[in-house]
Order: sequence, then structure tokens, then C-alpha cells
Amino acid sequence: MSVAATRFVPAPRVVEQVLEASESDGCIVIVEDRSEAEVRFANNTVTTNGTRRDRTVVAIALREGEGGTAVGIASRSGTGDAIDLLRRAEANAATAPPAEDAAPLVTPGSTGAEADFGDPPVTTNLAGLGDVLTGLGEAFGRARAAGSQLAGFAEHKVSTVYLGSSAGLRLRHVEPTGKLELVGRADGGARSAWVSAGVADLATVRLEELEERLTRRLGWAERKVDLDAGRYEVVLPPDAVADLMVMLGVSTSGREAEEGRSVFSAPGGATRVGESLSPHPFTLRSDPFETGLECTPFLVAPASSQDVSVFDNGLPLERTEWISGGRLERLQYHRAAAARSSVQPAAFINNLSLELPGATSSVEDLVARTDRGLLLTCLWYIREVDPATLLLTGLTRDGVYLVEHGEITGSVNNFRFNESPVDLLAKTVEAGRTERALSREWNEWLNRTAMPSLRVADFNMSSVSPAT
Amino acid sequence: MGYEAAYAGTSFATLDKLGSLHYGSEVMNVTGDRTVRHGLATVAYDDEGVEAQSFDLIRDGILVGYQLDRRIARNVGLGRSNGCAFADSPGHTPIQRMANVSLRPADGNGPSTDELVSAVDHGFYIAGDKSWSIDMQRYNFQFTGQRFYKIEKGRLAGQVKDLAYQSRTTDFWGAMEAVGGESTYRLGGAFNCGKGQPGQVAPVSHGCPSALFRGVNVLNTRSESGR
Repeated sequence: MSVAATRFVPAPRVVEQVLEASESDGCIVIVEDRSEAEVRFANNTVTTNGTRRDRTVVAIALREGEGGTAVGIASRSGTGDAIDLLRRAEANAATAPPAEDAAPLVTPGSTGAEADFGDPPVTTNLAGLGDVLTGLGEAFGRARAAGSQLAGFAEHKVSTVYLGSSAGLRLRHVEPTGKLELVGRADGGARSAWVSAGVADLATVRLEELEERLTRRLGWAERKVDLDAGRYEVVLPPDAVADLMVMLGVSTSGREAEEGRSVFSAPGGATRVGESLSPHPFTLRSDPFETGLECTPFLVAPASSQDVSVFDNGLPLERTEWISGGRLERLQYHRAAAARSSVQPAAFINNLSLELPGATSSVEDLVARTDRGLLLTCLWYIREVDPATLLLTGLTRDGVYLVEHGEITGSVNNFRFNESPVDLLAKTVEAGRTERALSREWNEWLNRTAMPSLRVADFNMSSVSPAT
Repeated sequence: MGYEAAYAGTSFATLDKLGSLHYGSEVMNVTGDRTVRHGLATVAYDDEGVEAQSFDLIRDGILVGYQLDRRIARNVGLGRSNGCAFADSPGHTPIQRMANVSLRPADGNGPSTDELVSAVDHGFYIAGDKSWSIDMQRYNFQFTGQRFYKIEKGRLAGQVKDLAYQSRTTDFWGAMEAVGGESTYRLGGAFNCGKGQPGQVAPVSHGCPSALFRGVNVLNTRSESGR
């Protein structure tokens, strides 16, 4: 990563210009400068690659009125007149009804993110892809020699966000994000496997190590076994656990729970906070300072939603345990909603970790203790079926393996599953140690996850998918 | 072709099946169209400068076409692009993706929704869609809906809940006994159809008449959750 000159007006100057020009009763400005580099490949050749710079500016104007505080928002990408944007936000505020999420603006405090506000954005380029880009040519050659095809995607992107407000906030944060996804296919797609790495710095990724994992999995598929739909004991590696637990994490809406629209609803407008969800003392948490998962330590809200408020922009974020000791501990509320419900506010933070304290086993250990079951290496096209139970549907993909007497004995056809991640916590037989994970389904918007492997009883494979 | 093997996947509707794959029943006709009025993917020219057009994808239940941009059309020997190159901003490379894809209603005075319902002795009327999920070769899918009604002896017999339906694509469309007439046709759509890596977002419409299917597997989602 490097700090580079840009054709954009410096973001700190945009923030100051807009705040100085504000004619409303309060103003918030968000500027996000993004820098991205990527390479995509398929059929043992690079198909696209490139670098990109972009900016988004959001102006939020507040207007005090008889019934309360109204909000107007305007945003745009790329270059443009920020003052014109501000005037559009003010015009929107002039016609908006009072906001139900109104609260005093956040004042400068203890985030520690103020000191570097005047610094330029951090950028990346193709060098940010580390050894991945330079190593692909040889990897394609090895795949061709083995009669297989590689496909995948690597990207490195850096977001530098600047947040300023009429209450005196001047915050800046740099968030680098990287990933590599690698798919190997052989025998016309009859054998396939997926491996990945989610990291802040792709220089830490060794392409050959991922290739070795891929080759090992393709080797497991030399023997094919057809199985029917049904309920199976399964072993889920950390990546697949992330596919499911991300949906649990984003379902922690306090408002939805209170309105009876969530798996965390209780009768009479109450919530299930305090209720045990698992016999195991799992912790599900988000923490901007979690080692290896560091992310923006203050709230950035370009728009309000049921649990997020623009009024909370700049609110310091802290370690939040959604589940603690196996019990539901917290739900998401913005400050105004939290005050109405007499709870502490909690915002979703850009990472998610599931941990069983004291667990040390690897996924291989869990497989070794499985008498008969399935190893599901990754899941795909996951969608919510029933919010009341958080029943999810989705598919296995690129690697379902039969485990017999503690050993992998072949690959199995794909399945459609219908399962709830909340139920999985209750049905867990054992959990492994928490490791960095990358959800295949959700990594584009939540890359930072750390999960254990899980061995789970009675996983519902609803039907067979003939897809390969 | 394998270009999406790591992301969206591949397709069972491979090039060798063009003109021969029985995708659905004989009443199934599907078009790709970037010219329809109010279509969210409607344009004058696509992002390679190709004039927008309408083309057949499935005719009388047989696969007869693909969505094409200039590169894919040339690479697979299918002649010229039919205007399906999309880029969601100048910062992204145009990719080939779907036009407004629509199931055509019956010609002339096709049946109304009530007439389709009246042909069902015992079944469900499912309005709207929700929770769509399909496998990486487009075989196995599961949908829910926005409202469900029981049908008894040709009439709606009350609203029900906790339903999903699940099938294989060609089985499902092969089970389509009838499509409704123009009066039942609606053009819907989404503003946020995601494709590609790095991700690109495009608005796109789908038009559809009411339709009658026989023998589709309907699930109880409470049972599926083990309750």
C-alpha cells in the first residue's frame, strides 16, 4: 500500500468546504476514497485484471422543526461539486418529516482516529496482489500438467474513510481488505474443489500452499459416492461455518426482534436476550480491534435503517458479544431505539467471530472423530426461507466428502440444504479452534470472519443437486 | 464455457444443446429483450454500442438462443451480439449478462388467473417470489413466495403459510400445463442484480403471466426446520 497523489480534491478539504458552506442546523459529511486491484482467471488463463480508484461523497443535512429533526441526504460517486451535493441534501431535509432516529450528534471523543484526519488516502495497485499475480502462470502450468483447470479471483482493496460533522468530529480510518479464491476442476467438472484466503495483506498468502490444499481435495474425489437426501452428521470447516454464521450475525436486529419478525423474537414484543441458544458456551462477537480482523473503530452510516442511524455517525465501536456463554446477549439498536427500549445501543461492526472457549481441535481432528458423516467444504446461494426460525436454504458446492470411520473415503453428490444457524449452535456435537475464515457466499461485504470448525448432528439435506 | 466456474458457476444449457434441449413444455416461450417499454434493462444501445433488440431464448419449449455480447458471439460461433454487454460504470469492464428475460403469455384470449385456478382440484396458488436459490449449474432450485393460498375444487380456499417449492429446472418447466393470457402478464424486476468479479450491479426486468404447473414438490418450511 502507498499514499499517492490523486486527481480528486483532497478529502479533508471536501469535508471542511461542505461544513463551512452548510446552511442547515447540523451537517455530517462522509468521504470514502477507494483503491482496488484485482485479477480474475478461468480455464488456466487470466481473463481480466485492473486497478481502480473511486470516491463516494455523502452529505447529510439536519433541519430542526416543530415536530423534531428532519434529515436530508445526498450522495454521489466520482468527482463533482460537493457544495451542489450539500444543497441537494438541504433541499431534501426541507421536505422531510421528523426523523424517528433523531439523537444529538456524536461529539469528539476517544476513538483516537482524529490525529491523522489531514492525511491523504492510502492506495493499492497490482503489487498489492503479492505473489498471487506473479505465481499464476506457473500455477496454470501445473494445473494443465495435472489435467485440471484453475479459476478464481484475487483482489486487494483499500478504503480510506473521512468523517466530519458540525459537532466537531474529524475522523479518518484506513481499512485494507484482500482475498484469494481458487477453484480447481477436473474431469470436465466432475471433480471440483474450492479454497480461499481472506487477509488484509495478500503478501502473506502463499499460492502454492492453497494449490496443495486444492490438489488434496481433488484427490479425495477420485472415488465418487451417490447419496440420497436426508439428515446427516456433518463437519463444517471454518469457511462454511462463516457462510452460515454471517446470516445469524446480520439477523441480530433489535427492532425486528421486538416486532416479532425474527428468530430472536419472544411473545408480547419481547426478545430472546438472555435465553440459552446452545448447550456449549459459544461466543459470537464483533470487535474492531480483534487481531487479524481490525476494522473501522467508529460508526459510518451514509443512511439510516431500522437499526442504524445517521445521527450515530462517529460513535466509537467496541467489542460486542452478540452471544455470550451460549446465551443471546445483545441485539442491534441505534441510540434512539436503544433509549426507547431501555437497552444499550449496539451497531454491527465489520467483522464477526465465533469461538468456543478452550477448543483446540482442527477440522482434521473433527473428521477423525466422525464415524460416518459428510465434510462440507463450502456452501453457496444461501437465502433466508423463514425469518421466524432463521431457516436458510442453499447448496453444497465444490467439495462434499464422505467420512467413514474417521477418514475421508470419497466425494459425494451435491445437496440443497434447509437449516438454521441458530439450530446448528444447539445441534453442535463438537467445535474446533477459531481460525481466520472466508465465507464464499458473503465475503464481498463481510470479509473479516473467524470461525471454528463444527461437527453437527442431523443437518438437513433436503434434496440432491446434480450440479457439479 | 467455464469463465464463471469460480463464481456464478456453469450451466446445464450447454452450447451443444442449442436447438435440441427440451427446456420446458410446448407452452413455454421465453424472450430476451432490451427494448420493452419500462424494462429495467431497456436501453438504446448496449455498452459495446450494439443496438438493443429482442430475441428468442426458448421457443415452444426448446432452447433456441443465448444472451450474447460481441466477444462471446464470436467465440462460440453464434454470429453477432444481441446486445447483452453491460457495465455498471466507466470503472468496470463490460460483461455479458441477461437482458429483460420474460415468459410470454398465451396468444390471443389466453386464460385468466381465475380460469387457471379453476382447472386445479387440489393445489396452491403462489403469488410473488422470495428466497430464490439455485445451484451452480441451474438444475436444483427452491423458492418461496409472498402469499400462498390453498386451492380446493377450482377455488381459492384460504391463505396458508410456511410453504416453499423445490424442483429441477427442466422438470419444473416441463410440468407447465398452461400459461395465462395477456391480462395476467406483469413486468416486474429488480434494481440490484449482481454479477461478476469485481461485482457489478444492474437493474433488470422479468415479465411473466400466471401459469399452471402440475406435480411440483411443495415443502412445509416448519418441517424442513425440524419443528
